Amino acid sequence: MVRQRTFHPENVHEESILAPIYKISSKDLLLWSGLLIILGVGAYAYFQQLISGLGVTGMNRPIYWGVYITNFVFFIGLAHSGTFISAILRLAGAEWRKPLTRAAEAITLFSLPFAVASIVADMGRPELVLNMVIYGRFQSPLIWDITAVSLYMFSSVVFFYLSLLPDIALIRDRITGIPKWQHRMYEILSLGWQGRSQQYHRLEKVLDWMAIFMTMLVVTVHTVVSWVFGMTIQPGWHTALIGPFFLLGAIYSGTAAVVIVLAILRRVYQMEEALPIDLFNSLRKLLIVFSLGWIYMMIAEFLTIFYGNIPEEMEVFWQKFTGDFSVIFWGMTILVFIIPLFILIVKGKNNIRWMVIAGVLINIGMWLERYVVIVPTETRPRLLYELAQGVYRPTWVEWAITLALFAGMILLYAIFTRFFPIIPLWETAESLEEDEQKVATRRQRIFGQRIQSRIKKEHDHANQ
Amino acid sequence: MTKWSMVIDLDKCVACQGCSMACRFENNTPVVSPDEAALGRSIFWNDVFPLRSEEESAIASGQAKFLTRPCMHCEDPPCTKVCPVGATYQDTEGIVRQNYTRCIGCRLCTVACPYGVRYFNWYEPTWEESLERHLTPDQIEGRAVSEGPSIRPKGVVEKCTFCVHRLFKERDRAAAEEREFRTEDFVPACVQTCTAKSRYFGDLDNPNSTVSQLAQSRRAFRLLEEAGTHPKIIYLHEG
Amino acid sequence: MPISELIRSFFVTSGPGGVVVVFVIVIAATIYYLLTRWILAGGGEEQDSDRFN
Repeated sequence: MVRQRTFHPENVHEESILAPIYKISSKDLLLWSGLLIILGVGAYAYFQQLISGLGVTGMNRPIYWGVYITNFVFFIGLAHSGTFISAILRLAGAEWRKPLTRAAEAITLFSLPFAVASIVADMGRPELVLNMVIYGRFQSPLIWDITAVSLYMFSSVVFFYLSLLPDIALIRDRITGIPKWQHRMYEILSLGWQGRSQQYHRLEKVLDWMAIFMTMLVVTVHTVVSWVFGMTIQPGWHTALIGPFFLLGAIYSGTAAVVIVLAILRRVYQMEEALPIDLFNSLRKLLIVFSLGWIYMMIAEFLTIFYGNIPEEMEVFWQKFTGDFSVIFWGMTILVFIIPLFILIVKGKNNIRWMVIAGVLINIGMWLERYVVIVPTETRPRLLYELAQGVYRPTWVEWAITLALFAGMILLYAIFTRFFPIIPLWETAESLEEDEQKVATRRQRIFGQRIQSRIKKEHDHANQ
Repeated sequence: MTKWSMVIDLDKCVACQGCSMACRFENNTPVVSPDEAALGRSIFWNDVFPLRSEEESAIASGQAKFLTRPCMHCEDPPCTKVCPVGATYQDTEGIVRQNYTRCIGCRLCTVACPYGVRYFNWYEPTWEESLERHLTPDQIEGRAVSEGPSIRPKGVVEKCTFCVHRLFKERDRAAAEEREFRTEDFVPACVQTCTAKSRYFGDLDNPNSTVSQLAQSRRAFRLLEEAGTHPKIIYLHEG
Repeated sequence: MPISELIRSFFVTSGPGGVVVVFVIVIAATIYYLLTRWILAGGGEEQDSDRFN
C-alpha cells in the first residue's frame, strides 16, 4: 500500500486535547474495574431473571411495565443531547457548539445501546426478539419504535464516525509510543483519510445534509417512543401532548447531561482552555429555556386534565398529586424545575460547580418524571381503577440491572475518551494545514458560512 | 358468519366463582403461591370481584354487587391492534386468541387492554402434584402454534379464549357423526358450569339466538362502551 | 383486491412490518456507504478502491 500524503489541521489545543490518549492511568483501571463489577452484578441479576422469569422483578398485574421501560425512555432521552447539540445547533449555525459536539454525540452513541438493552431486559422471551422482524406488524407502535430507534442508532453511529474521521487520521499520523494494535486500529478506522480540502468540503457537506435528517429523526424518535403509551386508551397516557412533552424532556435532560460530562472532562483531563467557561454559559441559557418549556408543558397537560374532570383521568391525576406517587411527583417537580431554575438563574453564571449540581438534579428528576408518567397510570387502569389498586415495588434485580446499564454507558464513555480525542480537533482548528496543489473550489452555501470563511483563510494563507 | 357472544345476567349471578374454577381446570391455568397472589400475580381468565371497592362487611352481608368478567372479545380489540408480532389476533368468528409460541412477552397488549383481562406468566407455570396429573389434554398445538389450554412457557401473555378448543372439538365431532355443526353444540366451560344459569352463549349474528334476544333487553349493557371497543360480552343489569 | 383491502392488510398482517424495518435500515446503510465513499474520494492521487475498506 502506497502511503498517501496526508494533511492535518493546526490546532493550538492539540497537545491538551490529545493528552488523554497517551496513557491509561491506574485511576482509569480502577474506574473501569469498578464499573465492570457493577456490570457483573447486573449480569448476574439478569441471569437470575432469565432463569426464573420476570417474576423476580416487582412487576405484577396491573403494573406490567416498571423500571425497565422507564430506563428505556430515559436513555432515549439522554441520547437526544448529542444530536441536539451537533445537529440542531449545526443547522442553526451556532459556532460555540464546536468544541462540545463530540462529547455530546458520544452520549448519544453510548446511551442508545442501553436503551435497546432495557427493552430486551423487559421482554418475557428475549430469545424471540427476532419475531419482531419475522412477524412484524406495522400497526403496532412497538414496530414503529424498532424502526425509528434502530435507524436513529445507525445514523448516529455514522454521523459520529464521519466527524471523527479526520481526527482518527491525525492520531494515526501524529501519535507515537502506542501499542501496535492500537496504531493498526487507527489505520483501519481512518479509511485512508488524507485531509485534502476537497475531502473536508465533502465531509462538511455530508454532515450538513445529515444534520437535517438527524434533526427530523430526533423529533420522530422520541415522539414514537411516547406513542407506545399514547396510542393506548389508558388515562394519563392517551394524550396528544405526550409526544412533544417527551421530546422536550429528552432534550432538557440530554443538555443537562452534556453539562455534567463536559465538567468532568474539563476537570479530569485538564481541558480548561479547550473548553472555556463561555460554553457553560451558553448551555445555561439553553437549560433555562428548556426548564421553562418543561413547566409550560406540565401546566398545559395537567390543567387540561383537571379542568376536564373525567373520572378515570382524575384517578390517575390524584394518584400523582396527592396519592401514592405524590412524593415522587412533587420531588420530581422540585428537582427538574424549581431548584435547577433557581440555580441556573441566580448561581449558574460563570460557575461550573453549580451548573453541574443543576445538571445532576435535572437528570435525576427526569428519570423520576419518566417513572411518574408510566407507573401511576398502570396503578389505576380504566375498568379496574376502583378494584385493582396496583402497588409496585421494584426489586433488587431491577435496580441492579438499572445500575449496570448506567455503569455500562459510563464505561464505554470512559474507554472512548482514552482512545479518541473527545474534542474535535479539526472542527475547532484555526486553519486546515495547507494543501499545496489544490485550490479550494467554491462550494454552494447551505448552512455553513463558516466553511466558506475557512476556505478563504486558507487562500489568504497560501497567497502570502 | 358466526359471531360468538356471551350474555351474563347479573340478576341471576350468585358470585359463587364456579365459572372461575371451571375455567381454571378447563384451561390449565397456572396456580401461584399466596405470596405471589398478594403481589397481584394470580391468573383468572374469568375473574369474579365486587363491583365497587366494597367493605368486607358489605360483602359478608350480601349487600355487595359482584361482577364476573371473562375477556370481552371486543369487536375492535385494542390488544390485537398493538401486538408487534400478531401473537394475539381475532379469528374469523370474533374470538380474540393468543398464540403462546409467537408471543415475545413485551406486554404491550396487557397495558393496552382497558379491561385488564390479559395475564402474564411471571414464572414457569406450576401445579401441585394432584393437579398436575389432571391437566386438560385438549391442547391446541401445532407447528409454531400453541393456544388455549396448552401449557404456557414462562414470559408469555395468556387470556380467555371462549374455550376455543371446545369449538374445534365440537366441529370435529359433528364431522365424525356426519352432521351439520350447530351453534348450540359449543359452550365454554364457564357457561356450562354456571350454578345459577346466569350465563348464555351463542351466535350474535343469528337474530333468533338466545344471546341476540337477550342483547335486545332493556337491562343490557356492556362494559366501558365509551371506550369504543364494542365488547361481545353483554351484561344484564340487576333488577 | 380493492386497494383499501391491500393497505389494510399491510398493517394488520404479520410480516410486512419486519420488511419495512429491514428495508429502512438497508436503504440507510446504502446511502451512508455511498456518502462515505464520496467523501473519501475527494482525496489524493491514486483512486484505488482498496482504500475504502
